[in-house]
Amino acid sequence: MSVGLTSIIIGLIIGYVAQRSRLCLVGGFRDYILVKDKYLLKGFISLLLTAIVLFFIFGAVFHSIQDYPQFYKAGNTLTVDQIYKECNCSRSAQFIAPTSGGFLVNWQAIQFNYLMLFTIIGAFLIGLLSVLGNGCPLRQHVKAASGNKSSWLYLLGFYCGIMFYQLFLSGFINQLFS
Amino acid sequence: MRVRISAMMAGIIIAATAVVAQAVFAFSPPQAYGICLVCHARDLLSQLGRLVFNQPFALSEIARNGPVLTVVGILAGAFIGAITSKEWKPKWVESKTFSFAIGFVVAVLALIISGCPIRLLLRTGYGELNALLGVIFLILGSVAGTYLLKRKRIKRP
Repeated sequence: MSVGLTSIIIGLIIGYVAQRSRLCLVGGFRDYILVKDKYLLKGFISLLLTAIVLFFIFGAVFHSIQDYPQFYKAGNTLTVDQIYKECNCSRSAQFIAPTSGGFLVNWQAIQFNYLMLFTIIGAFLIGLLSVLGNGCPLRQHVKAASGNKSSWLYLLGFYCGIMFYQLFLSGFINQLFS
Repeated sequence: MRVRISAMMAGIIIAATAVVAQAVFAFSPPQAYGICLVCHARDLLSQLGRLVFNQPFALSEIARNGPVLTVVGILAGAFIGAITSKEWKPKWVESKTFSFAIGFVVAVLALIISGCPIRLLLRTGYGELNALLGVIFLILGSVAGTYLLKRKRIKRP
């Protein structure tokens, strides 16, 4: 199937399901601390566990995913990969096979680089700002489609941020991470 | 009619859709790319920019084959869900400049990491160590944000 058709079907399913169940990924922790409500936390944990289990089934049993770390095969080592030069979609530091040190991860081969530092700082700031701004990005898209006019301004800021990144920051970040 | 889907079911459906799209329908060269709000929006804006302005904006490898329309699908699907259960209510809820500024900063940060929160969870399932670090610090950041929110509420008269 072509890319356009697949992507629209994925979007329709996810949009409908996320609206009917009011799923929010950072809302789980906010609700648990303020009113001890575990409804959204169950959604977060079920997404994580299903992703781990399904990637294992499709990668290790059926072999239909490229570059899935085959850590069950002895004598197979993978190395820390480079980042794609053009679009910063990272493919780095997978779990490494247990032939030289460690059970699942080869601790000596991991080097501390700028990507790890920015991942730590960036994820912390995304969590902080999403709770203050009343929703993770998925929840803001769903709220905007339900009529919340403040979320229309959030989406406008979102796309302005993407254009700002593409015009001014993209080359600098790619050089920093390579 | 009011269809109810619980959050646990929603998590399972979203993760299954994203993994099956990569394994069966070959959504592949950026790995774990089934659903990501900021990466697909960047691909769509880059394709439009290439058509209109003829400048070489950065694209990912799957986006050279066709238009990536996930964001349109998400907005349309949520709109259908809101209309069929009578939850469509246009109104202003929060402050305007605050929402714009937070949207801007979250988009720039998410592109530096190359993943919105959903894609961080998918990459953890794929076996990437950076994404596991990202999930841990996402949890810590949201806990810190909740404590900030608590203090603001108590201080207000």
